[in-house]
Amino acid sequence: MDKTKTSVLLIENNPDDTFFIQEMLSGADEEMTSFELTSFGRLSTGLDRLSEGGIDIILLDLSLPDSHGIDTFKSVYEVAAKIPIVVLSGLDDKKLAMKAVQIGAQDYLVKGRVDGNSLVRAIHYAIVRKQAEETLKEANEELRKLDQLKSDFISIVSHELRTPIAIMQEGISLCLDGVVGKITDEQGEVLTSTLDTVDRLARLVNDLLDISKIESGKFKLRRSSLDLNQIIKKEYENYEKLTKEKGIRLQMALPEGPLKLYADEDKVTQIFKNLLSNAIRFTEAGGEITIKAEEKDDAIVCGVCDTGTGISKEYIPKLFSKFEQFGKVDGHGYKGTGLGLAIVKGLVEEHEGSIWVESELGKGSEFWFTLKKVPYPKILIADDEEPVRVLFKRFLSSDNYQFVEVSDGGEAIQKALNDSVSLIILDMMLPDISGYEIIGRLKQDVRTHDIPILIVSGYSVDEARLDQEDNHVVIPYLNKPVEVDELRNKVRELLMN
Amino acid sequence: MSGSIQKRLLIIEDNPTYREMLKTRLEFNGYETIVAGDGLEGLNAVQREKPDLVIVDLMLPLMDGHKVCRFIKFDKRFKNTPVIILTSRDLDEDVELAKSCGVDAFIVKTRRSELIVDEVNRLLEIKKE
Repeated sequence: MDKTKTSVLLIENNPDDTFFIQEMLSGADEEMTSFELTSFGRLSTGLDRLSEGGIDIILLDLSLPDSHGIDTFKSVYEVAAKIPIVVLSGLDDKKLAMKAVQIGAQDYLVKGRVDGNSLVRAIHYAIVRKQAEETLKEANEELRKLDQLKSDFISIVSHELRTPIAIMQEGISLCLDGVVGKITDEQGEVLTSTLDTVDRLARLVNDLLDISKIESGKFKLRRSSLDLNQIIKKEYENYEKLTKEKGIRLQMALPEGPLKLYADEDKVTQIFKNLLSNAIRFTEAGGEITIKAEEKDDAIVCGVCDTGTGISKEYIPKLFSKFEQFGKVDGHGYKGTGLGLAIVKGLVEEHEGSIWVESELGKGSEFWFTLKKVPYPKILIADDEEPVRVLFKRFLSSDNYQFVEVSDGGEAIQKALNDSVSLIILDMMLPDISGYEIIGRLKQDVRTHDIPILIVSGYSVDEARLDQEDNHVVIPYLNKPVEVDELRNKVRELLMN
Repeated sequence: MSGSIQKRLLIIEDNPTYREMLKTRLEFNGYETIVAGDGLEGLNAVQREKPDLVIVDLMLPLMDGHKVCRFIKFDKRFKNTPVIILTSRDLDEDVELAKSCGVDAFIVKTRRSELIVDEVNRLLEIKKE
């Protein structure tokens, strides 16, 4: 049987310690493997040898003439890639060695407390463990790629399905509406139930797309300043007719004043729509549905509570999973897609909130969720005239933004770099640097080039000058005098994207 | 002269079945319709026929709906013509791109055609004002 050779790189500056290790390794009478040791006394020469390749394991002392402490480990770890590292520690610096293990070393050995057997064993296991780690990393990467492919697939297929479904809907509707000739009552019935099913298909496709967007993280929340009070009232109005028809009482329990939140209006509306339509499905005539909301600490807590059929304990854990259904089909054959609650959960979690249900069979269900109050965006206003800055702040005051004001270009660039601003309102005629140059500098710096800029200028803007080399930067501008709605809408639009 | 002139709608859609159904539905609602099967044909139709409103799909051969919409909206002669995008794709990037082209309405296929008719009515009303 061929013996395998394990190539060991020792980076250790103490000659005695080096000698002992050399002795231990050459004395180790291994049947299956022999050790080839190369040793260096400095980090720099050790790293040079490492870069030549062919090393199976590194034994590393952390205090070397040209490097100390945890930085020594980090320097080696950065370039060691798939090679395991065992740290050699003195009696006094075990803590340091343990820290190294925490951040990536396979093991540590206390010099003076090591004999031939424990050294050999440590080397073997360090190599095996590192290999297992690498295999796991690769498997996870594969899984991540497959997951992305799956989401892309769902997205492509769902889009493709829409046109054929639209054709079915349209064709059946044309018949039902008498557009292509009169139909009998019986034909009408058949066509109606067919159309209901096609509508359900359409809903399923929409839900699949929503879920795949949420799962693939391709989700972008488009936040703006909202008043949750208004949103809930709007949904209340939307569902009033339906609940009246079903004989259900729909109510709201909201605080007096506005419930301000910086969130995605469409998605938050979707959450309420989803929960409300569920509540309506599962509540019988004579029942009650209440929408509740209140501020609590750093979130807004909302609830959709019904006195309907309730959910039995065994179903509750799986409630927010995909495709779990609880078999309630109402009169028109309206069946859920099984994705609604999974989508709601995804939307709530995108808003950094959580969702839960309290329910009792026969008594009703309460669906509660929180939406985190995130800080409103900070807007940098760069204009040398104070009255202008004051005016803009006033125009934008009802949107709850935070403001930072500067009166020259140098300050503007400084603030943009250091103050995590979300948008810059820029006057082009600042006293020290031209607006074009400011924009140029901001767009060239990787730290600021993604900050949207809105030019508000008294002079017409030269669009050709705004083109930066090849990246045709489109910067929106408004001409002074600006109107309040113009400014608010443009700011909101730029922040959303 | 009083009396309503019949409004003319241009439908740019490459699926022939869907195109025909839309045509049927809109004519049933009193509109005159012109159809085109790809983006290039669609643009030619805009210039030739000068429709009162354009309905365009995003995924089209020869020139996609975004480009067609841009051409219409950035042309002095046609920038006031309402454009409705009627499409199966509604990813965030599609909606944003559409908005940047100045589209007047974005409708996803599988929303019922009553909605499409309502939007057409609404946009033509606004245009009158």
